[in-house]
Amino acid sequence: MSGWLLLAAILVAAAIGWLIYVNSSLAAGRRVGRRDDRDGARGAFEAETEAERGEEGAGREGPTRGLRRGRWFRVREAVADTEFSAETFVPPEVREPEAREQEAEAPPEAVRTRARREPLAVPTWEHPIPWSYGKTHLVAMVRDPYWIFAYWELTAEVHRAAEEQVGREAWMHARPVIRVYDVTGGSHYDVAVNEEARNWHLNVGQPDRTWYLEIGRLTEAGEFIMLARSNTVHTPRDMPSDVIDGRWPPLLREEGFWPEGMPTSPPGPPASPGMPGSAFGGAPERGL
Amino acid sequence: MVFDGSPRGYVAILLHAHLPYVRHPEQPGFLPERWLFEAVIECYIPLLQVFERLTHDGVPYRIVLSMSPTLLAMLSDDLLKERFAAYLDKMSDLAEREVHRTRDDHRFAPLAQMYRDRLAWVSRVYHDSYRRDIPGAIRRLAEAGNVELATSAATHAYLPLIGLHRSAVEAQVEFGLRQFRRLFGRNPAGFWLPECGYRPGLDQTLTEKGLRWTCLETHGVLFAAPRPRYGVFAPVVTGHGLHCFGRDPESSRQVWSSKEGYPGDFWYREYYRDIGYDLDYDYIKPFLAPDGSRTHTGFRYWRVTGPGDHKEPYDPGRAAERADVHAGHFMWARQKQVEWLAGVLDRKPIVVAPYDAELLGHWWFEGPQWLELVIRKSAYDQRDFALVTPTDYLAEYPVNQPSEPIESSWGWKGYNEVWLQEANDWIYRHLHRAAEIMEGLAADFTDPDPVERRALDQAARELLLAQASDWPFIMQARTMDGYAKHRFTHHIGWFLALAGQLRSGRIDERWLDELERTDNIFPDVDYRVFRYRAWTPAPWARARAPAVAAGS
Repeated sequence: MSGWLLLAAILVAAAIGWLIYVNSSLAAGRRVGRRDDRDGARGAFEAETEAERGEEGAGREGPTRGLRRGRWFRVREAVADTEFSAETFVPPEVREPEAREQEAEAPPEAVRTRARREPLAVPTWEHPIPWSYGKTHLVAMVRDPYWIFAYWELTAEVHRAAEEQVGREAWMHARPVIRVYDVTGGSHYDVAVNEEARNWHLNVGQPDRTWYLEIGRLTEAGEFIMLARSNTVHTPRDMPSDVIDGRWPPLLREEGFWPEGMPTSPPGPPASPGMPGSAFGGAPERGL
Repeated sequence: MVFDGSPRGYVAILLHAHLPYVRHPEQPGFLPERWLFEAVIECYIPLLQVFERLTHDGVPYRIVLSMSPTLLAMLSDDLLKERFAAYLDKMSDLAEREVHRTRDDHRFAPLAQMYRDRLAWVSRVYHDSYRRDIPGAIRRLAEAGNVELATSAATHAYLPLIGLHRSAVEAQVEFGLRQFRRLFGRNPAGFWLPECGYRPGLDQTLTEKGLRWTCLETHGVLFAAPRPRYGVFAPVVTGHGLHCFGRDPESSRQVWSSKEGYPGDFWYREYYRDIGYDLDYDYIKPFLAPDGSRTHTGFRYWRVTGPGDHKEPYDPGRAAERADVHAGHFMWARQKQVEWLAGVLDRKPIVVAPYDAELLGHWWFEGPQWLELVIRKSAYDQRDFALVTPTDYLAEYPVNQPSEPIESSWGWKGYNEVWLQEANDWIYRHLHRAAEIMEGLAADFTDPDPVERRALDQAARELLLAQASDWPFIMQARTMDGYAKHRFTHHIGWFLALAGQLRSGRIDERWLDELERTDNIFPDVDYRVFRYRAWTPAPWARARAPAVAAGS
C-alpha cells in the first residue's frame, strides 16, 4: 500500500516538476531539452548581465562585478552545442570541417541544426565544454538517505537498436522511465521522466539500502526496453545502526548524540544573527 | 602526551585551513585573490603567531593544523607573494590615511591606530621573520613539537562525489601527500576529508597511502555499523584500518552556532560593516577593486551591538574581556563533559573539535585570542583534560572498535546535498567523463615525448582544479556563482582541449606554455598517477577485516 502511495507521490511530483519546468522554459524563451548543463552556463551569463546593470548598493555582490572586464566573462556560452569524444575533439585551428557532421548522437533536431550552422569557435583561451559526450551511460549518485541523483546520455544507436527490436509503432508510443531497483528489498518500480530530460532527482525515500537504476522505455503493452544500466549505490543510514558487536556493546543510548544524563552547559553568551558560518561565500552553518 | 598527572580525558582541537586556488596572472588586482590576502592578514599569520608564542612560552599543548594543498601552493607562489606584499603596502597606506582621517574622533582614532599597528606587525612578521615563506614557518612550528600537521585532498575535491573512478580519488590524495612531503619533509598521519565528506571505500585509498586517521561529522561515526560503543568519544576503525574520529556536537555548537555561539557576542567586532562599503566613494576608491566596485578592506570599526542595524563603535578592550570569558566557558564546558563521560565510559574519552581556520580571525576577529586563552587556561587552570591530537590518542589506545562509518559530510543536512543539487548537479557529467578520459590517456601514453608529457601533466592539473569542492559550493551559495561556473567550465574545457590535442597528435605548444604559466599548481604533478590499478585490498587490511559484518 505504502509503495503505491509512494509511487503516486513520485508521479505527482514529477508532473508538477515538469509543469514548472516547461513554464519556466517558455517564459525564458528557451528551447526545451537543454536543462542541466545549459542552466549552469546561462547562470554565469546572467550573473554578468546583472553585474553590468551596475546596481549601486549591491555592495556584497561587489566581487562579481569586479569580474566583468576579465577574461572569464568573454565566454558567453560556456556549454557548446557539441559532442565530445577524445578521438574527434580537436582544437578548431586544426579541425577538419566535416568532423562536426559526423555527430552520432541524436540530440533534439534544433540542437543538431544549430551545431552545424554555427561553427564551433574556440579561441585560444575559450574552450566551451560540450553538451554531450557521445557515449551511452547512466550514472547514479547518492544525495542523502532518501534521494538519488541520476544523469544519463543515450546515443542514437541505442535508440535505433531498441526501435528495431520492438518495432517503429510501439517505440513511438513508448514512454521514457527510470526503473529503480531496490536490491536490498528485492523489488523495483518505475519513475516516469520527461522526454528531453538528461538527469533526474529520484526520491527513493529509504535509507540504508542498495540501489541501481535502468533507463529505458515502457511500451503501451507494458514491456520495459532497457537502454542503459547504472552503477550500484547505497543510501546512507539516517539513524544509528541496529547491528551490535557483542565485544563492543554500546554504552550510550541510541537516540542521543551524547549520553543520557549528560549535563548541558549553561546558556551561551548573547548572540546576534548574521554570524557567518564558514569560509568565504556565505556558507551555511556546519550541519548543526 | 603533554600533561602532568593523569587527566580524565582528552580534547582534540583541529583547525583546517583552505582556500580555492585563485591565481590570475592576467588580471592584477583580481578580486578573489583578496580572499587569500585577507586571510593571511587576519587569520593565518595571527594564528601562527599564537602557536609560536605558546611554544616559546613552553605551554604544554597539542593541536592539529591541516592546510589544504591549494592554500599551501598559493602561499608558496612567487606571483602571489609579490601581489600580497603589494597589497600589504596598499593597506598600510590606507591605515595611515585612516589614522589621519580619524585624528579628532575619539571613538575611531584608537581603532585606526590599532589597524595601522596590526598591519605593521603582520608586515614585519611576513617579511622579516618568515621571509615571505609561510609554509617554511609552518614547518618550523611543526618541528617544535606542539602542532601536528595533517594534509587534505589536492584541490579540496569533495571525494564522495568525484569518485566514480577510483583514480580520481587516488590522485587527489596522492598529490596532497606529495606536496606535504615536499614542503614539510615527512609523512602526515592525519588526513582532513574536505567538508568531512566520507564514503565507504575512501578508507582503503587513505590507508594504502599510509594515512592513519581522519575526522567525520558526528553522525558519520554515530550511525556506523556495528553501533559504536563510545559514540563519538572514541574513534572507530574501518575494515581497511582507517581510524575515524567523530565531531563532538557540543563544542562545535559553542563556536559555530549563530544563536548560541561565541562569535555572535555583542561586544565582538561586526564583520559586515566595513569602510569599503561605508566611506565616501572618492576617498576609498583607490583601495577597492580595480573596476571601482565596493568591497572589503578589513577596516571594521563597529561591534555586533545587537540584533538590529544599530551599531556601536568597537571596543577592543571589552572584546578581549569577552574572549577571556568565552575561553573560560569553553574550558569549563569541556571539563564537565569529560568528567561526566569518564564516569560512563570505561576508557578516557576524546572530544574532537574541528573548526575552519578562517573562522578564527577572519569571521570571528577575536578567534585567535580566544584560542590562545583556551590553550593557556587548559594547560594551567584545570586537570580534567589534556589537549591531544588524534595521533597521540592512538598511541595510548591503539585498539579501537571495528565499525564502518556511513557516507556523510558536515555540510547542510549532513550528506551530499550541498554539492549535489539543482544549482550544481550538472558538473558531475563532465567531472566523471573527464576522469575517465584522463584514465584512458594515462593508460595509452606509456612513452610520451617531452611535449606530450607536458600536455599530459597539464591535463592532470586542469582535471584536479576542476574537481575542487569550492565550485559546486559557491554555485549553490549563489554569491559569486558566475566565477565558480567560469572556473569550472574553463578547467574542463582546457582539459578536453588538451585531451583532443594529445589524441590528434597536434599539440599547440604556445598555448600549452601559457596554460602552464597560468594554472601552475603542483609543479611535480605526474599524469601516471591516473593509471588504473585493480582494486586489491592491502594484505594487512584483509587480515583485519571486522568479524561482524558491516551493515545489514
